Amino acid sequence: MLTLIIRRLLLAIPTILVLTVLLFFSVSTLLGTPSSMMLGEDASPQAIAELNALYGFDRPVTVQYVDWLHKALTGDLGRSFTTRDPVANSIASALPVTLELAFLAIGLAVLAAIVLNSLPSAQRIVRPLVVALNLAGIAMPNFVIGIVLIFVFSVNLGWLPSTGWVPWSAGIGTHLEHLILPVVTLSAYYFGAFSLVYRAELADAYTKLYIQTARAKGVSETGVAFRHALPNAVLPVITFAGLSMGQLVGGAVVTETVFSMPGIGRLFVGSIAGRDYPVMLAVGMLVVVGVVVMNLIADILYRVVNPQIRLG
Amino acid sequence: MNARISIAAGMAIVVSICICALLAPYLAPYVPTHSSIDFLKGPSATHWFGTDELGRDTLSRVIYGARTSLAVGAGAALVSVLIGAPAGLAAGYLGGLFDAVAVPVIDLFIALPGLVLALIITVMVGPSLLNLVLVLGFVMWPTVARLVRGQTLAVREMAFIEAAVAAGGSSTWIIRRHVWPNIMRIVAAQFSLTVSFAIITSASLSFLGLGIPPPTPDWGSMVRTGYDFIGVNPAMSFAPGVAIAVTVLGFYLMGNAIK
Amino acid sequence: MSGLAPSLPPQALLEVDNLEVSFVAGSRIVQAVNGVSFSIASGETLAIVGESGSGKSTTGLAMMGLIQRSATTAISGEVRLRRKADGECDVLKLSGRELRKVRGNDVAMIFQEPMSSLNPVYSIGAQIGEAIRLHQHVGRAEAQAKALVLLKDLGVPNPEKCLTSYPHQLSGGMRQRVMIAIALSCEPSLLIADEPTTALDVTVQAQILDLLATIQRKTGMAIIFITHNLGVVSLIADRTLVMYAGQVVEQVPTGELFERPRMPYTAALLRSLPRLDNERLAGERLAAIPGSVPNAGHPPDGCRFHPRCDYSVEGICNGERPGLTACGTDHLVRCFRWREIEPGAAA
Repeated sequence: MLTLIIRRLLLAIPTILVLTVLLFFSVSTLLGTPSSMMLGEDASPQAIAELNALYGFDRPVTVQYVDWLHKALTGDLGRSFTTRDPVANSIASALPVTLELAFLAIGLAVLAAIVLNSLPSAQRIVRPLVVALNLAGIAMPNFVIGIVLIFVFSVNLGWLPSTGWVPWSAGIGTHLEHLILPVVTLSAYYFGAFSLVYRAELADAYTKLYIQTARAKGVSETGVAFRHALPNAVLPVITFAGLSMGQLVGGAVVTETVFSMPGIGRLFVGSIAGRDYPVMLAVGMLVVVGVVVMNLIADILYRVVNPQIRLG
Repeated sequence: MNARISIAAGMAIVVSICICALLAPYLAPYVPTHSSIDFLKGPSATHWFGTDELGRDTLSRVIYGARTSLAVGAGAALVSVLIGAPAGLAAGYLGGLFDAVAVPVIDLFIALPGLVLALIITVMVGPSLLNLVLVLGFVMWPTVARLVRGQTLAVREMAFIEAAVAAGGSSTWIIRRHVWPNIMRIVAAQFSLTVSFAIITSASLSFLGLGIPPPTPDWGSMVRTGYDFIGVNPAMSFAPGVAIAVTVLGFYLMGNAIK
Repeated sequence: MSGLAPSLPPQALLEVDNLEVSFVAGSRIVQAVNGVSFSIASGETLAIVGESGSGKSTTGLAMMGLIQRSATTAISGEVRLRRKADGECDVLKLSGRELRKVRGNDVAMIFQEPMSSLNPVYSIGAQIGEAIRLHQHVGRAEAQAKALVLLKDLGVPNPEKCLTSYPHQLSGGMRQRVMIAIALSCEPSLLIADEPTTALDVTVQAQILDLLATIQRKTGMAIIFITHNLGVVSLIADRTLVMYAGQVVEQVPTGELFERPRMPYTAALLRSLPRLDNERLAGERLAAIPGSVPNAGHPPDGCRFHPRCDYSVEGICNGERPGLTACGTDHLVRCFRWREIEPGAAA
């Protein structure tokens, strides 16, 4: 088992390297030099050349990459072109916001998908409702859901605020209150996707003989649902959830924009609008590394939790 | 959910949207780019969905927006299938080194968030209809490839392939005559699902400011501008928002039903 | 329902009265179990024999209340049970909570596939423990201790290791022993065994049967043994019920079943058994019963077996439906022609 984990880890490192190289090179070649981006298209070639020399953009791309990598590994991700702040700082302050949003959203989606689809009683009433919500979550784009929620709960009913972030110092209650709408928005799609997977697994689990054995022992239907069927059906959902963490970044980008949250997503969008090359690059790398790591963790977790693989 | 209901609903929606797109000039009551002084009005008898901040009729813009969405959706799906299907077919049928290299690449691309990838590339190449189609197609081809590869592998195991080889067929002939028809259905289903994904992603890109440039009516950017006026004129963002959701739902249901 | 409800005769433990189970399949109604009645006493072993599709498993499940009434499933009849804690009940009329008290406690059931009858994510100890704690007020540690004793009594080698193992780590025979342990954990008065040895190899089969017989001797538990294997029946059953197309077609003490079957179907079943002492052994095929089990949605007219029967007579066997008639002491048969024929004698 341990050797397997180590092997996966070792495989992950070259993967990350290859991806970062690809990203760096494609950005460099397609953007031309960042200087022309920064100064605009009307700038004189001389001004561009000066800036190039200043930042070292006139060196061969490979050299630039190694230099960037070297600096990145020591925590120096350069300075933002627009704000002049160290990129590492901006990321450090934005990352916790996004992580909190992401984990809460995935957690909510998993919990809701599992609990709402497991309840044996009142299935005739609950199930169609859940299916309707699932479809709405999958079909409606993130931002539409967000805007609708804001319109209903913020503008009309005034129950919840329309921005997604206040710092913890403002009080836990207020902090969480601001998070409700964005978390629900982001989790909607995954609630749908996870429910589909879970219902399929659950249907399969219920065909197995051990369900009959449990009933023959005298276990109640609720017990059968939560103690016998659920543990067998839940594993693929958890794995799926782990793998979705990477995809979540896309959703987070939009959600943070709708709810004006100071996270990585909004940072990224801002860097795109402002042609802020170092920030764009840094966030892109972060996403790549994050995805590879999340996949690795999900893979390991799956092996650990499944007794059939663990004990061989 | 009842399969027949889904197929019927999905097809009904897709057909309606196609009609909107094709017959837009005949269906829309106003020219979508025609601004007037009646701005930010709510729904009324003359303007069923109200008007936007430049006095343009929202309903007309929504109807015309179907053109953009369908163009992007179908275009991107086509690109993804044109690249992905042959790739998956080759990987599945030929196997060996080609497959061993293709699989990790495909898996990696699938794991990366599509929206982020699309964002990065769109920034670099600039937003336009063609670029959007190409970028989204590029983001989606690995999913198609993986699906096709899986099907190819399954079909390849079947005995009749051996029979065809025994009868003297060459590799390409076998692929064309035996493998492809079995894969058609899966590809058709995935095509529909890709359209729905492309529409959502392009709408998101538009919402973030990287979509089709104005004044072409585009549902995503309409929602974006409408957001600023959400308190005054909710119809401005709701109408295109609902349009996106319904369209995506239609293609999604159809895709699932085909499978 | 007021008035005198029929009650169990003093020595009977369980009495099934006119049990009917039907399903809706597509556009037809399928009668899986069609008017089955029998009773069983303490310490007795009753075998229910039939081909697949005869309704024997469905009967077993219905007796535990495991067939749920729904829009597509109908059950009628009575299953009267004498409870351990005094009193009687009709299993089919119990509420959910009462039914759960009966299952595993008064009546227990073991199933055919030991591979998939155990939950793969829990250890053996946890699964036996669950059965114990559902009906007895004991803590987890005490339940584990009891489970250990059970496994030892069942002759499981290295029972401590077994408790902490998972189902996929055990062999088929071991798993079935665990299933038996679960079934016996609360000392039920009746055990329903649905093809428990079919999926096991022959030597293990013999061990399991031996085990069940021993337990029965010790505790006086009644056993209903559902199987299609007549060989097994001859080894363990006191009485045998033969089922065909959802009905009981012969009910007889086991010895007489083999010596003098009165129902042509039973005789045909016996003939299709491979036998070592048969002169026809060399070069001859097994005498399979021609035709196949009737489509349960469209049973034939009259006697359901008549299309495949060597003794069927036009006009008698394809007209009215035969009922169960007594043809000897303790011997019931569902055949119009039982007086005229000796199906067991044909060789």
